[in-house]
Amino acid sequence: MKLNSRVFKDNRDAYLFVFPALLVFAFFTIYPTVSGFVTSLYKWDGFTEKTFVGLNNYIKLFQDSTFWTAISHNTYYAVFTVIAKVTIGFLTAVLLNGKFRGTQIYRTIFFTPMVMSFVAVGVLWSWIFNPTFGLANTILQHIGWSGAMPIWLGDPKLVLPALMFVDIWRWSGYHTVLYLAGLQSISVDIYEAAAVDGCNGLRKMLYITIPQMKAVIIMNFAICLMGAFNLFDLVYVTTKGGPYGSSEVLLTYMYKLAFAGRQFGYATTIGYVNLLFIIVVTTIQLRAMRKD
Amino acid sequence: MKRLFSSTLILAILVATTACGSGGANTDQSVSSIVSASTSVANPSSADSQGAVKELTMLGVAEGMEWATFISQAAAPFEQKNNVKIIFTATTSADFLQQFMAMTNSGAPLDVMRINGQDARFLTQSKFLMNLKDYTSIDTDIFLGSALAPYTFDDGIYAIPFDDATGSGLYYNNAIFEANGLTPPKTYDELLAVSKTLKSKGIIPIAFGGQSKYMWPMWFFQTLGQQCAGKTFDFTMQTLRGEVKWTDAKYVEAMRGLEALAKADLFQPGVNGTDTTGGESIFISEKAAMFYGGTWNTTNFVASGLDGKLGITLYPLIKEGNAYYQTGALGGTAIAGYSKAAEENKKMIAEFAAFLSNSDNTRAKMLFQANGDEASISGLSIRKDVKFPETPIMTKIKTDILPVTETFLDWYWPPEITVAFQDEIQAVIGLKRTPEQAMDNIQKVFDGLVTGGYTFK
Repeated sequence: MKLNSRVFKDNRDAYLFVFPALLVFAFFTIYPTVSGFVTSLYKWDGFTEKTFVGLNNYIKLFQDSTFWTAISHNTYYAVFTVIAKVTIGFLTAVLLNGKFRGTQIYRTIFFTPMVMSFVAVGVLWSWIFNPTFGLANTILQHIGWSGAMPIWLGDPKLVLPALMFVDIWRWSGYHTVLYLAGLQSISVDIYEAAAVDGCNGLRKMLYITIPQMKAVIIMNFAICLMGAFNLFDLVYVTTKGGPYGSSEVLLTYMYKLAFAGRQFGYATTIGYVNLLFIIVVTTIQLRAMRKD
Repeated sequence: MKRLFSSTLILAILVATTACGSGGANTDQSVSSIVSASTSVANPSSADSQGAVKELTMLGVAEGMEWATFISQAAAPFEQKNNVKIIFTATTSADFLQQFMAMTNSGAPLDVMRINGQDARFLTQSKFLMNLKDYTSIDTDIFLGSALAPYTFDDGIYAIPFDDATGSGLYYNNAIFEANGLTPPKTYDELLAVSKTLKSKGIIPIAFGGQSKYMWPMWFFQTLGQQCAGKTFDFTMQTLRGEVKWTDAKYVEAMRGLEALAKADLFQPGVNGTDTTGGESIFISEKAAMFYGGTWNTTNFVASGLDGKLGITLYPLIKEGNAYYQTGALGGTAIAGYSKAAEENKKMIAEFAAFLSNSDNTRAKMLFQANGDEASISGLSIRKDVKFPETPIMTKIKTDILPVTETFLDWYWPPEITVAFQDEIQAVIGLKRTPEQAMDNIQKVFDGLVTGGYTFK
């Protein structure tokens, strides 16, 4: 007890500085999370009185085929976007870490898509993918595409790959920046020592860069995975889950249930299940980083 | 000293954070909402002599940021006369229910609303709207046809329409038709013949934004309505009460009528990959000869350069023996009072609803939407005492379209059914589902609702 009170006394200023942020976190994160779980135990249309249903919403959710379809879409989306963004981000960062003219300009170019609003990105790519006027099909025509013109956002087989492409385009720059920060923290001495021992570029990459960047790679992996399961904005602005549910993801389904179907209790269940999944992923990531 | 400084700094940060977090009670700047306007009392001496000024808060569907300005100007005479301040918050049509929910759940003040027609039934049955007839007299004869019907329940009037009469129609490019010696199709066979000629000339028969799936049910209303010959409303009521199945032959046939359009390849390639704006652009750029839409499209088509080339006709008869039918809304948006507003304000709320939807303001609204140019007015007022010089398109709408127009059926459907129809029609048009499968899926959705306690009132 004496030790604890001394620790608190010695760190009182630190606790005081952290307190406002903790308060904001408690009010804007913890309270809505708990409140969300409570809401998921009710049947509620958002307007009238709530009816307590216990875990019925969760039982209903696991029997809901649309829920499983949405999860499969998120998983499919995650596999490809995670691999692509982690890889492209890393390779781009390695290239941009070099010393040559124009690195700042190239870094800006790669990062720019990330600062565009999601609505602007959605509208822009809706037009690029427009089957009649769009730039994508116009380019295909010019390079002599002989088959039927792809209906990017209107074909159930192409809609998710098209959205993945946009996602990768938009977020690769962000991951590049994270990787760049990691690369620049690696001591140059290690590379010089390796050079003295006769290491070539590839061996430096495999035995120095990648091991040193392991924590950053894991962090980017986790961010990509969380992003794939938190996907909403791009799908909502472009396809709203269509055509006929082929791009429906967890959060668009949740949104549809809540605001079109007025099933707020049931919709909150999806949000909560998604939260639990993300907590699991983050826990695995933190453990992997601690081991490292 | 150090600790005193630290504590003072923390306090200062807390105070600053609190100050930044508080905003004016009347501002509402979410992504989907538009700026709210706080109108001012025009007669300060009245306020001084009569005490505190009453405030009425209005949440309204708005067509743009200028709406806040329009409502401010329109409300000014009422404010002066009644010593009241109207605080207006605008939102988009799609976000109205979300905003309404946020306001009611948070206990924010709310008195008056401009609501969507399709929300009227839900809001009335959930007892959120007050019966305006209990507080003011409403001249029901001044409205066209059944304009008040969507807002009338059990003899009560729960909102007063404040919008133009809308109807659906098949727009066509007169210049393209004349250049190819064609006439607007009246039947499905004529539509096929016209389309064959158009396709041979590299012209798309019908443009549409199928990716914006909320528009697809309108096509279904057409094909169903033709079969029901004026009894579509009754048939819909029977279905919602469970007396008729969604797998009934009429519904399947209506869906088959849409499948036929897709099988005949009448739409632009990738119709389900093109949104509403894209579909309109194809028609405006004259790549397509026809566009199925509503009277709300007219202003955009005229302003985009199709003036003089634009024609409108009835949806072709799918089968011999069908009756002409169009879907629309004689009412559109409407002004309503919140049932949980303070009792002492309800008379003023009802009077404001009647005032805002009076002939002067209706006239002003239509002029406002046409940027003050009478010649550009493309809508028809639902009030008999508001008239404007008619364009040929407006005359066609008035004489051919509106007399056979029935209210959009999704104003009666539960929202889950509407969403199911949007997905299923998209799938049928994409030739991914048969009409039978589509209606079977919709029946399953309805069965789920009934199991969950849904009853139609």
